[in-house]
Amino acid sequence: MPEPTTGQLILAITASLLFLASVFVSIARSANRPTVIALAMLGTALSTTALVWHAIQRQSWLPLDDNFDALLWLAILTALVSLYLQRRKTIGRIDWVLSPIVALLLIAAAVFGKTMPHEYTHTLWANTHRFAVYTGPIAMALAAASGVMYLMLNAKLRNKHSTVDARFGSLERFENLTYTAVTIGFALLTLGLITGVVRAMQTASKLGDTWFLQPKVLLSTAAYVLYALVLHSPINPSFRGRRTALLSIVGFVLLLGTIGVVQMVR
Amino acid sequence: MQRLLLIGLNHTTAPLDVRERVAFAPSRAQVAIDALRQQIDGCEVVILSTCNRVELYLAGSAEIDRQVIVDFLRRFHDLPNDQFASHLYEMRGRAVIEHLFAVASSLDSMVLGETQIIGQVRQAYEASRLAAATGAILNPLFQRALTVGKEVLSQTHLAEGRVSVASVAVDYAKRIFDTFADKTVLCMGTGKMSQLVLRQFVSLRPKQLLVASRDLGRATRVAEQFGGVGVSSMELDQLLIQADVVVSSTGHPHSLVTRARFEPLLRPRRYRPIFMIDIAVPRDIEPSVGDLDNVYLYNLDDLQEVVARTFDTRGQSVIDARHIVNAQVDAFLVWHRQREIGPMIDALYQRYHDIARAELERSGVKMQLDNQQKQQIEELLHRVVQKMLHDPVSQLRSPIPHESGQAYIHAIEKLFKLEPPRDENA
Repeated sequence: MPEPTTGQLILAITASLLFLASVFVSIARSANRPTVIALAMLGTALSTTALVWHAIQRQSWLPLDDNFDALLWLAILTALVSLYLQRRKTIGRIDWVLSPIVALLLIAAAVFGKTMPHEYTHTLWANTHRFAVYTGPIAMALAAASGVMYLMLNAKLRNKHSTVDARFGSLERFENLTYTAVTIGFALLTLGLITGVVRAMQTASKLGDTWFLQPKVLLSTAAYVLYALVLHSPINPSFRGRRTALLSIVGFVLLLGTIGVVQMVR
Repeated sequence: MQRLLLIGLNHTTAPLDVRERVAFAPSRAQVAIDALRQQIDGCEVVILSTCNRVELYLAGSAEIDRQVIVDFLRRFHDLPNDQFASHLYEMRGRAVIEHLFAVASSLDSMVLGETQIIGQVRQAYEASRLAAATGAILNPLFQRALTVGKEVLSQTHLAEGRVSVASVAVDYAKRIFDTFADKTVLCMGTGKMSQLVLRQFVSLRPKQLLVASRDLGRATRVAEQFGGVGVSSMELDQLLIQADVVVSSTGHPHSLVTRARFEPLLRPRRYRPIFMIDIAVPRDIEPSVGDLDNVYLYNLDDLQEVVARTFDTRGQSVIDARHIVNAQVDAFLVWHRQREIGPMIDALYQRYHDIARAELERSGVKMQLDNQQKQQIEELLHRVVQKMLHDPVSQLRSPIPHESGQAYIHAIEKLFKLEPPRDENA
């Protein structure tokens, strides 16, 4: 499996810088939305170019074949979700949280893709597992972003002397978005965990008897439990609001940890 | 005007918790006026008590001591000490007129250009007038203040594009809720202010609109105006469980919704967010209720501060309004001085014309003047008296500071041996 070239790494880093720049412009008091969108679109285009270039280089169009490819996919899909939500103008400032996540994923792609290229086996379980564990975090990133926005808006509303930008959306909208994203993400994570367990059982001899004590298994299980709590909140409504938002953020941090561990530990 | 006194506090000098302690409920304003008049014999009184200010306008035949008013406020409101007194401002003479005109023009309001204040000034004045607590000084002063208020609002752009407390409340509600089609709006109280806020919420088309009052008939009448349902406030706990938005302005002397009352309701509410707008003074909802999770409590000051910040670009309108107020203050003082010294000036002219006529009579007999000559000399003397008195009378009529004005009047009364002008109210 060929390592990403310097050109592809430069593209990924440049794209991450563009996403960070878009956040700075977006947060600025005199935010120019077309500039924000243009920067994010340019970043997405550069990331896609790096992805295509890497696919041509490794002579395979199958996604998620190595870390560089997988993390680029995660970044591009998250960026597209962010652009879509901004276009709908329902949650205009979600890019404040999603764009840094995209930038982080692109930097991770450049760092981990270069240092430790992985090769994946191609079985049905493995492919399903990879699909689920890479798409699940996109939904969870959205849930976490929505959670952050909820907490920001909640703080602004509680600090009664601050004015609230109408384009922020509403607490109810963020809460609903968090639930929807967590529901989708939870289903994907469930699929990822089941297929992961099956895969681990199949390759138990390679992974050892204590595979379930591996950091990525423990972290992903902890995230899974947290998301279960979030989904539990309609039954126990004392969890709703701020607590749900906090749990969705903590859950995503654990998932990011899991992704990081996956890149470094086999 | 020397005897005109204003003692009060407002949103710039006192926080809400002080204002609500010295506020006069409409039902007790009359009692307060009577009590104050008993204490300061023969004084004129108007008490202006709104959400943002409590002001006592007094006019008396003698100097009124500030401490008398402080003691009255402390006793009347049963306050433990005089701490509130540090928030009071005191004005006398011309400053009172300037202040009242500015108040009636909304220049002293937290929300510039708000029109409600004119109605509140009128109400306060009418209450005192009906109680026969106004007279020669406060009657013309308040009547002129109402005219000035109307003139400012009609001749400047002060009231244009203003953001109201109600519209700010709706903006905040939209930051909490995405849709109102499944929400219940509860209005506690049927006052004018709560109806103004309610009108804004009706435009959001909530699922249900409830108006609660102890008087079910009144609640129903008000609710019907907005397509809502009138309910008895006796079922308050149940209503608070149902409600997503609460607008409260009951005029109740104590908090109706305490933390101890509301906290147990969170569970039956299934911890749904609730937006509470407390526009009552004294407050209906205990501030600590706002510390609870998923409770967003805003009182009048919170909303008004947001409103006030939206008015940083209306400098020219404020300047125009100030010009009108200053001109009207001068005009009022001139008018008032004329009214005050008019009888004295009449007496002065009368005295000199009498002297001139008496001298003419005496000299006419000696000089054996015929009627025509006598008439000519009489006209001459009349012109001489008029010219002699023209300058001092003009000076008296000019808007000079009150202290020296009073001194002039005294001096002229003494120098020319005039009877002091009779007080109409005496």
